[in-house]
Amino acid sequence: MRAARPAYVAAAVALLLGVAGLVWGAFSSDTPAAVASADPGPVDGVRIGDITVSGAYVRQPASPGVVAAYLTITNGGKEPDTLVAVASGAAASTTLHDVPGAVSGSTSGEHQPTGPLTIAPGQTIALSPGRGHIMLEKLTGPLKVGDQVSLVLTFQRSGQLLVEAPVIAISAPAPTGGTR
Amino acid sequence: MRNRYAAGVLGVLALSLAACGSSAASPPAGSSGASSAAASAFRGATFVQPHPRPSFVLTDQHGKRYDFAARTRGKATFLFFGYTHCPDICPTTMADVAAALRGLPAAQRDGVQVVFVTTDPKRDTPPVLAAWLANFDPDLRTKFVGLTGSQAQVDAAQRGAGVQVAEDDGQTHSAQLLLYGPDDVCRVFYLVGSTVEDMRHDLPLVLEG
Repeated sequence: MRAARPAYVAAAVALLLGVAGLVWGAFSSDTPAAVASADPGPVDGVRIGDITVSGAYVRQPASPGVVAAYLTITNGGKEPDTLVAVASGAAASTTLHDVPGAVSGSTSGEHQPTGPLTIAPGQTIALSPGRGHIMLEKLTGPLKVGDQVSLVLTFQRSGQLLVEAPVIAISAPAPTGGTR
Repeated sequence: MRNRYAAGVLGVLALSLAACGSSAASPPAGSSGASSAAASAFRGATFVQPHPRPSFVLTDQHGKRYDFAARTRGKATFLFFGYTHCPDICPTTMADVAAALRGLPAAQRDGVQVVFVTTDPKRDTPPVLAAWLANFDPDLRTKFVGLTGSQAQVDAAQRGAGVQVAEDDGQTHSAQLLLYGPDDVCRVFYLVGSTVEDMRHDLPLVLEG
């Protein structure tokens, strides 16, 4: 299946990895702005434009070299926005997988790359086990509990957002959504 | 293309699974043989026609022959098919099962068998399975069992258990976590969206028969 990954995904990732290198510096001196307490969004969210991302986490990998990141994306704006690419400093390959609605059959344990993901105005998309994840492959190093995995999400309208996803223990309960 | 084919097959499978009442909201689906969980005492999804414990012989994570029916007969048993290179529902499922078991009294917990059968036997050799499973059960007295074999053997095991046979080098696989009772019958199973609490709720019911 990996060999048959659509070319645009590989291209997007390659592009983003390049872009991420630039973005890194911009973010490194400036932690992502926390959502103001008056904002209806989740308190742990980070925001760019109309997009808020919250509840990010990575479960410590059980298999070396591959791990999933989960997070929740909310579009608080009046226009649709599209997640066009994801990248991570923790992995050489980063792809969005199995998001329901974006790929057929995603409730059945298949493993399919998802193309660009559009979030409608007011919509919240929660990636959770079995309901979409960001797959990190070719990890640049071991991930330990408490580590932070950096994810760069590129939205067509709102731009790029850096999200820090803490690594939780394999046996830890999922912080968000259904656990399975 | 193989990819397209698998996606097509799973489009159909997803419909049937979605109709299995995984969210307890759907009405019973005649063709799938499953009913809404709301109609039963279980929080997991239930079969109208309970499935008998299947028979298959594979190789465990220690490289030893493992006769599933003989070794698990009369014992509550979780059975799941997946692959260790899976980042998503496979590790989550095994972690959830372990978490559910930790919520049981030791006397009950130690009697529950957990069997993981790989859908990717090319990569999931006994040592790979052993290393992977050790992530989930370090504190549990009854160790999880990981099974592998030839492609034909693991395919047959899936057919025996009544789950969709995996495709795509095992990466496209059933998400059903089956739970057999001490009476060697599977009445309840768990799909994506089931929680540790659902399993904790159902386990005593299954153990009581």
